[in-house]
Amino acid sequence: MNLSGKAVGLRTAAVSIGYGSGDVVKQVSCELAPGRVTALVGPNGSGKSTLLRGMARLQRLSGGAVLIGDSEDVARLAPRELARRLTVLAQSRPTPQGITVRDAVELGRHPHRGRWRNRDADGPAAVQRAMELTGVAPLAEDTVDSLSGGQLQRVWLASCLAQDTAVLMLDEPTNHLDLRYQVELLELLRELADVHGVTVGVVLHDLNHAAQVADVVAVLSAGELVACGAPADVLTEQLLTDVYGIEVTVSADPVRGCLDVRPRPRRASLRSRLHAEPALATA
Amino acid sequence: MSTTTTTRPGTPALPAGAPPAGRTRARGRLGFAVVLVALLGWVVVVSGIHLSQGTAAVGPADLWALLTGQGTDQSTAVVVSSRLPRWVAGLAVGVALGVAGCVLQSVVRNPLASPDTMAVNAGAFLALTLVAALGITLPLFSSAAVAFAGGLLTALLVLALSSGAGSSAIRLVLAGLAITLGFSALTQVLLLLFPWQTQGLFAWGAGSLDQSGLAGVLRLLPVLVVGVLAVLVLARWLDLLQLGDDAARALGLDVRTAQAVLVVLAVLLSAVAVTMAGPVGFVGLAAPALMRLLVRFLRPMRKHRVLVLMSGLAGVALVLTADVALRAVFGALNGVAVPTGVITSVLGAVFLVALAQTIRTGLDADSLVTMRAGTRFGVRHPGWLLGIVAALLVTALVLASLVGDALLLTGDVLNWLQGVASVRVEIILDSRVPRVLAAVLCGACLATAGAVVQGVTRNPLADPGILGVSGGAGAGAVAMIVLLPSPSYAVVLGAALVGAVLAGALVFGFSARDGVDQARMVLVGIGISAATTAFITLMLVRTDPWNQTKAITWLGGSTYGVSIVQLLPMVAALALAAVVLTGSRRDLDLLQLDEVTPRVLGVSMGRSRLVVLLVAVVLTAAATASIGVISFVGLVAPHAARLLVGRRHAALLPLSALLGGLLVLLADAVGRAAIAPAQLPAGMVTALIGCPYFLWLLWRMRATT
Repeated sequence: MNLSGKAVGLRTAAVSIGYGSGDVVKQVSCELAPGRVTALVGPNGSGKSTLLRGMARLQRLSGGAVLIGDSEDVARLAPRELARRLTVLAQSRPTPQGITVRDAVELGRHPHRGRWRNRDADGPAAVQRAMELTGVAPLAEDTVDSLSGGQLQRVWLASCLAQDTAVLMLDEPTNHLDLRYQVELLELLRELADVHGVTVGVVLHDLNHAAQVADVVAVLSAGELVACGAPADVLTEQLLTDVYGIEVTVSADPVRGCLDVRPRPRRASLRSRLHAEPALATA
Repeated sequence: MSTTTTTRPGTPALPAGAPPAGRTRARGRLGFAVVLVALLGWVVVVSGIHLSQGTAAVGPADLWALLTGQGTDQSTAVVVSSRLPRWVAGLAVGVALGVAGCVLQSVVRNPLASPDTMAVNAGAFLALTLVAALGITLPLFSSAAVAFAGGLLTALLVLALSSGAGSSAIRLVLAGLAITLGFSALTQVLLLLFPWQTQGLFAWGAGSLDQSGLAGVLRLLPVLVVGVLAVLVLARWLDLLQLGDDAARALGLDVRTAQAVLVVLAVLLSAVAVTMAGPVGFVGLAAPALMRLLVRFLRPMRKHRVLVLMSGLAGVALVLTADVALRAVFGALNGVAVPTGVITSVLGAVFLVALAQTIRTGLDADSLVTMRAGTRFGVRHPGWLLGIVAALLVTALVLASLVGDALLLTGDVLNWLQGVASVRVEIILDSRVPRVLAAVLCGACLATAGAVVQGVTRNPLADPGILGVSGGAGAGAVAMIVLLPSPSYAVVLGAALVGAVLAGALVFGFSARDGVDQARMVLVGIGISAATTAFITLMLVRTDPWNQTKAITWLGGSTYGVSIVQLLPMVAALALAAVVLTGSRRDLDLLQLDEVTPRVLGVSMGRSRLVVLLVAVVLTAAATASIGVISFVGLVAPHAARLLVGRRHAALLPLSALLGGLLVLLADAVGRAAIAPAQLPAGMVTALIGCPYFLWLLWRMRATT
């Protein structure tokens, strides 16, 4: 959706974020490369969501800086100016009663509108395109409260796309989505990066999703960046075993053309005892 | 009652009473002994000071002489006939409220339960006022029965409204608050309508320990003693109830009966206190809550038998200390007239605000967002809807200028507008038109303020009146009216503004920790409201009785005697609001959603919030300075507007203003016409309308959580 055409990157310089007692994110320096998809992965509590929120200025930094484009400090930008360049799909979004899907998507145009006037020349086109990309255009006149969780998730994604920013960040966007929409969402992220030059940063729980969609994977553990690079270089058995504390098998999946990450069962004997049926035991 | 302990032989030891390791137990006992001695010592010292305070020159030395049997006849007479009754009343009220609060909190397992928050006092006061207004004179004992009946019915009403699946600590307080406001409005109406029959009830309504003799206190004392003893005997039920209904039932307790008996006892005790001294605010909340803080450290207090007694003792300490402080500050002579309840209310308010910081709340965070909004017609054609309501308002405006103590015709109004009306019509309309306009403007101000506050804080229960902002403005204005000989309107307005800003800063400041917690905000607001109400009562009681009816009228929110000049601040405030809110309308659309969305979309949260809240405060102050304290308009009108036109503030705000104006206009017209030539303040009428709506809202929010 990046109409200006020029891809804009985002990087963190020794960013630390704390909630009062100790830092949750410790001195992380990483980059969302312009026009690429970067996945942030790590175990629960590793600070990946916090880092993402910090990059989007939703979280106060206790140290370091977030720089956008040509090394402009995000903290110095006016809120409205920042909202024209960067958006984030947060984990939980409200379900307001009594507004239509189009209304909800139009909320994304807020930073492009003046304080007093209603005019927004690019607005209708941007809203329509965002709805079409996310597949919610047929629902445009439905009220938001009549939607399913998955549809709602896509409506809010459409709202982010209507915001027409060069940087898009998403916090576990595949939650609440069924298999089909998970796949479609990941494909949409690729399309945004490849076709429209949008810089995408996405927090993902599922390592296979990360392997499938990302150009760059950044692995966090206990608030520190432990690895950052191409999926094949980063998602190694050794590293994942260390970070997640469970043995992991990584293999190449010839069908999808990307890595396949699987945890190894901790105690095979226990599992076969629990599932007495032979069909399950061999599955 | 002895069956309590005998019917369950071999009841397993409660966790509360489980024997801990030897050393901690000893330490707990030692600590308990220290606390007990300290509390007793405090009561003794304060009692000494209390008894030596007064208009006659009887000091501590005389008191000591009296105790050792060497007192003079004169000092004996003073102490026995004037000081002892007040002291005994203080003791009795303190014990009764402390014990009642402790029992209520334990029965409903809610740290915020108390005779005040459960509207027991308001119910008792209403019942007493009703009886007095009807001209029935009762001996003291029967008036206690009346107070008891009123209090019990009210407590049951509050419990019913707040119970059920989604019951939470805050819900009880909110239901209690709404009922208190509604009942107070009713009581005020009665006080206004029957000024002679109810004389003396106004000061009493604030809680005064002043007694005319020992006789009255002594006659109620047996009830108090029996009540406290019964609670002590049944204290084990309280221990069991703490385990939860199911566990208590498993241990052989008939939970429903136990709860019923204990609530009745608690209400009986509150009724005794209320009959003796009027509602002495918040002692029943603060005393047990303070004692509960110690339970963690002092094991013996885990048993309710001990906890109840300690709460009673703390209640005594609180009441006597408040009374001593009151008389020390205001001097002996004035101290007779100033009600003790004022001081305890202020203390209690501070306490409530502090409690609000720790309480876990059970209201749905998204409740405003998830409430239904918008009719099909309203959302598609907001302009038409606004036009229709505006036309309604104009029609109502004309009709309202026709009704009142004298009925006019439309032609009269037209003539008056052209300046060719008869002298009679001119005189009537010259006083009536400003009132009608004032009602509309005031309603518009408060409704806009309410809509803004609701949107910004995402709190469907927010209303400048409920949050104490109106109270702050009222306190400022009344202070000027009472303290200065004849303050100019500008001074009153300025003071109201300062008061509103202070109250607003307190409410929004205290509740803003980690975003704005809705329930906490309402709780803090209730505290601030209580404090400002106490403050206003204090000033009104101190002013000469001539002003009292006028002051109550003003407090109730009346358009009586409003001049055109007084309309100007409201017009100015509305103009300011129109400009600022037009600029912020889209920010408000986003702010009502959640904490994250507006930030993602480039709204600078802090500044936007501050600006629009300031506008709300200014609107409230202007309305309050002109008309007085009007509650519930800022609650009802925005909700109605949201239901009609949806949640876009570009349409929501003007519609709220129109509906608010319409509401107060109607309330004012009803107040003027219903019992003409006597008049009811518009604010009381809106409270009578708004209170049921608030309760319904609370009920509805329960359904969604």
